[in-house]
Amino acid sequence: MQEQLFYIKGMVCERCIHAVREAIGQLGYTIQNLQLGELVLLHPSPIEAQLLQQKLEPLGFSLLQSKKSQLTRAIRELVAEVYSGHFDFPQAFRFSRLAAEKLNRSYESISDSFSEEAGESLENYIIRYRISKAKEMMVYNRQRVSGVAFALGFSSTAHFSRQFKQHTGLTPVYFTTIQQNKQTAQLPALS
Amino acid sequence: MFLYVKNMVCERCIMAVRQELQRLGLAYRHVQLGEIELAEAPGQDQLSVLSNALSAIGFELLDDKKSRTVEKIKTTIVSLIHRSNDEFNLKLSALLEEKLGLDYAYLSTLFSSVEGVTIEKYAILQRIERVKELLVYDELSLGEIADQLGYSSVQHLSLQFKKITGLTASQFRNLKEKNRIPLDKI
Repeated sequence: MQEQLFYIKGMVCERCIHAVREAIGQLGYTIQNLQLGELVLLHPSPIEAQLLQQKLEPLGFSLLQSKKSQLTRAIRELVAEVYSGHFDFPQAFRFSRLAAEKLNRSYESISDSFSEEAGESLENYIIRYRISKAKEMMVYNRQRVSGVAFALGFSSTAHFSRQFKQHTGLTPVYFTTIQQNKQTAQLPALS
Repeated sequence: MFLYVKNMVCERCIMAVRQELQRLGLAYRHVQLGEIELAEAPGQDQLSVLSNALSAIGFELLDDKKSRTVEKIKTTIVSLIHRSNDEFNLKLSALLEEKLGLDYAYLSTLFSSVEGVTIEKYAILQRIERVKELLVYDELSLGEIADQLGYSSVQHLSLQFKKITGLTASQFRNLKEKNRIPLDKI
């Protein structure tokens, strides 16, 4: 069982609490704690916020997203956009500068807020994202190491290789070789 | 036939009252904060059943004229502060005179003698509660909240907030337990 906290907008009195309790009861969740604006549910698996939202909306409530979680989502979207493999990196590109500009806050506050919400540093998240994207491009798109390094904004193939090795323990070239071997090894079994 | 109900403050209160009326099979024209208009006059026993049903969910049927007036003053203030997004441009005293058709001096004395607080103080408490609610939502800055609730300045809001709650707005924001008060308990 895990406790899950939701913030609800629009609750002002006892009847509001009663109305929420009834609506949530219909969904079959166990209420751990319910007070004005705050709902704690006990459930083995993560609860879809969407589902609660649908149930609460007819009553005139809405689920609140904290500024932090909105910001975190915006950051993740930005990371996905920049490291999609199709981003046109300008000269001397810095993610920090772009993020500060796009989200209109200092990079320091962006990265602080991200690590608090996501439980890992933004730098770490970006590296993980780039490495897994690189793997994907090398395996599915059969792209060359140099091409991948370029598409993901690494300053050089060497830099990319070094980071890849640091995080996976493998060099990119070795990684592609074993992936290809795996694929060809599987082929006869299929036919 | 009009009935007057104490403690109604929001949409859910209206829904709850409607539900009770339907459950008891009483036809109504409409329900709004503090007021039910029934399609026809209920019998004495119907009325007492309704009264009990409403008390069970925290409301109260009002019969004497003075408590009705007091309740009307309260619902007017609650509606103004919690249920409208209009700018505050009319003075509270003028608004109450207009809504209730009674002299403000009379309203003010009546309210104080029944409630033990003045209308002004009550309105301040309601407003601070609204500020607390908006602070919890973390969507507006204190300046925007001050604007929305008709404070002349952020300083004015901060001072009043501190005076009523004993905390500054940012201290309140960082509290784990927010201790919001149901509006009908103010």
